[in-house]
Amino acid sequence: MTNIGKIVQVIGPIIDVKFPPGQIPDIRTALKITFKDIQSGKPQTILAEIALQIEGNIVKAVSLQPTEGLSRGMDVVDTGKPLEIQVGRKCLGRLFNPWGEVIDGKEPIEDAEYYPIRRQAPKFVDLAFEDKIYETGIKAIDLLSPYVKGGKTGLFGGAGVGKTVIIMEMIHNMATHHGGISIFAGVGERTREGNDLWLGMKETGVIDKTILLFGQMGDLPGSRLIAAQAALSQAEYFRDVAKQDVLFFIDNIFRFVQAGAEISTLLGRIPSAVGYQPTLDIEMGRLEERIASTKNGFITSIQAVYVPADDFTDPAAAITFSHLDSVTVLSRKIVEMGIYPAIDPLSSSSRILSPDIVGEEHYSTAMAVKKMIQRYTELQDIIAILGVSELPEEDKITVNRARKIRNFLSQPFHVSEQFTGLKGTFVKTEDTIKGFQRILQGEFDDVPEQNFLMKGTIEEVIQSCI
Amino acid sequence: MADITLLKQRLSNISSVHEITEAMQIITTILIGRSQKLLAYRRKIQPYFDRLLFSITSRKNKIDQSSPTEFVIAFFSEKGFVSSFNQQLLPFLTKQRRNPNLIIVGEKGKHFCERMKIPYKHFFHAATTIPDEAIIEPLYDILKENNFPWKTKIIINKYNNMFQQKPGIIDLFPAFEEVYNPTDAVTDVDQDSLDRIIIDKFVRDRLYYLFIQNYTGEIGSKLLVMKNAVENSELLKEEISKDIYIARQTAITQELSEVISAYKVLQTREEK
Repeated sequence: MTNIGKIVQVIGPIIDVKFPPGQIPDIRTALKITFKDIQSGKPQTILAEIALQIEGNIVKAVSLQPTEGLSRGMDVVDTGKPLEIQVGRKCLGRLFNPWGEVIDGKEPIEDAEYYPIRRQAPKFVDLAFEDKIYETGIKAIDLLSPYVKGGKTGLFGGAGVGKTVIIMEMIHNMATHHGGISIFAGVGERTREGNDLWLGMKETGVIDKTILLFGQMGDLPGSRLIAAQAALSQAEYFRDVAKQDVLFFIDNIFRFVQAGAEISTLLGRIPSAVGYQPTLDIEMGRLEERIASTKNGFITSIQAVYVPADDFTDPAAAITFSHLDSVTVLSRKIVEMGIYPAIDPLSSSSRILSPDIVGEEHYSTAMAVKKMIQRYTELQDIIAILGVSELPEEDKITVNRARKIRNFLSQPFHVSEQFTGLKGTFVKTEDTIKGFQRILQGEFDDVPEQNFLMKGTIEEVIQSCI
Repeated sequence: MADITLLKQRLSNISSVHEITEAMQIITTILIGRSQKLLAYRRKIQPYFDRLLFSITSRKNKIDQSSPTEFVIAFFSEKGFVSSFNQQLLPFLTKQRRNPNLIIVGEKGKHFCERMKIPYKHFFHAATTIPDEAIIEPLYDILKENNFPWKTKIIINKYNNMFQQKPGIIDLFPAFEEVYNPTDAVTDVDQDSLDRIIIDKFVRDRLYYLFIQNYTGEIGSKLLVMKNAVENSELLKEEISKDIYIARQTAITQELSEVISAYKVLQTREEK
């Protein structure tokens, strides 16, 4: 028999529903409400997920869709199961919203397999690790914060520093140089960007190996909260059932935290530091722990992390740091210098940047680059006050080479060809290392620093001097 | 948000640099005033010496003008923090790489020669304070030993004013386009002795003038550098102070919101 409750209160996306005594559904159960749309007059169904149970047989549910048109006393159907999403090969090449509807205008998927959106992390014994570099073709990343195959990577940066562009470039490079399945979760970002990505993928033919799922800016917090988890369920299917390696992109994980904070406040929880939800740690932990590689297959994840007001001590950014294998930090100061990608070489790091894993040559080059840029940074104040001409000779050489290195860390991207007018490049790691080694050795001391800007390999720099 | 402690440390470092540069600016301002006065005086009397010299050279060849030996004296600053004062002389210096009679004046010039492996015959220090006439003696002796070589060239920043110092090569013994009528003065001493005295005096005076010019230029450049440094450090201090205020304000806001939240939690418990 269908368990039916009645709406007693609606505050924004939070719906209070009263069920008959003894029939209160479990936490995280999906509820369904059918009502007449206030504008079109057509019947409409929305989904909500139970988040709290309070006294008086009342549950507080978080709606995934707008609640305009709901009224007290309306019937609410207990579905008896958690929120689910379609998974499997049939989903490849399709676009979804977080509650599993296809949004690409095509026919719905028939006979699809379903996975719950909220799932358990893999067991400790099933986890697998392989410290292998995942080549991105982006010099600054491959040299200074190499990504781990089957690991988690964060792209940190404030608003408008280029996180999404890097993710798009990586998706492009993945399609052209790696192959394999990739899943993209758009969480709380611009719908336009999602559309660009979808059209771009269709154009390049990558779409057939990709699943896109969007819970974007205009969606309710409930939708944004489960978007990453829903996409992750799809990734888990390929890992566990199809036993395939998956590339999993999230843009932007901060929006997941933000959605959690919005819901937490609406549910009446006391906020924690900087107004975040008191359950920030556990929410983030549950999501991040699920992004794991097992004996069945690897999930290599790349997550964009928005840093509010460029404050890296913000709890949302700080809590994300602890889960990651590699961290790529994007800096506004570097953006202001017109260097793209605006990767901060000193703040970016990787667990695998050690001689045992990446090799002595790679390690020593990366360290020398960091050391030189560190020295240059230390000299910045003196240069700002007295100018470069007053520095001792050895520091002048350091500054000269560091500026060239800084410029050489830039690179033209395939996805931004229409903006820069420059052909995008994929640079192999060995070419990257060689290029930086030659700059460090002073081979290009006579070449103007402008020649190093927006170049792929060092050969392109040499070419520009002729 | 940046760490307040680190920002304060940075501010303190910049404040120290600011204090030093400001003190140096005051000192150089005083020095350049005195130096410019001296230079103006030398500029006034220099044409008289030039005329006297010309009266000799036009009458008879008191100085061997056909001597093939070319001496070059390159004037550089004695100390640093002079912006491009020395740098702009380098193209002239490098052209003299093969000159066996290169004389360097100023510590910085010596460093450049060593770095660029330019051999030099003699080195003398430039003035570190307002030069007195004795500073020319060692250089004068060298020229005298070589019978005041006519083809002596000087590499120097020609001082017009603090903002205009033109690098170039000039002759120690200037050639005149104007023609002066030599005067047949009646003197107690014979003409040759008088000529020797004039040449001697001319070289001394000319060298001293060059030393003063070089020193004034060095001080002028230093003053400009210090003036810019003071301005830059003030701007930097201002920027960092703003960052500190923002970081402090953020910390206060965060602390307040946490205190209020904690208070509300305690209040809710009490109500229960």
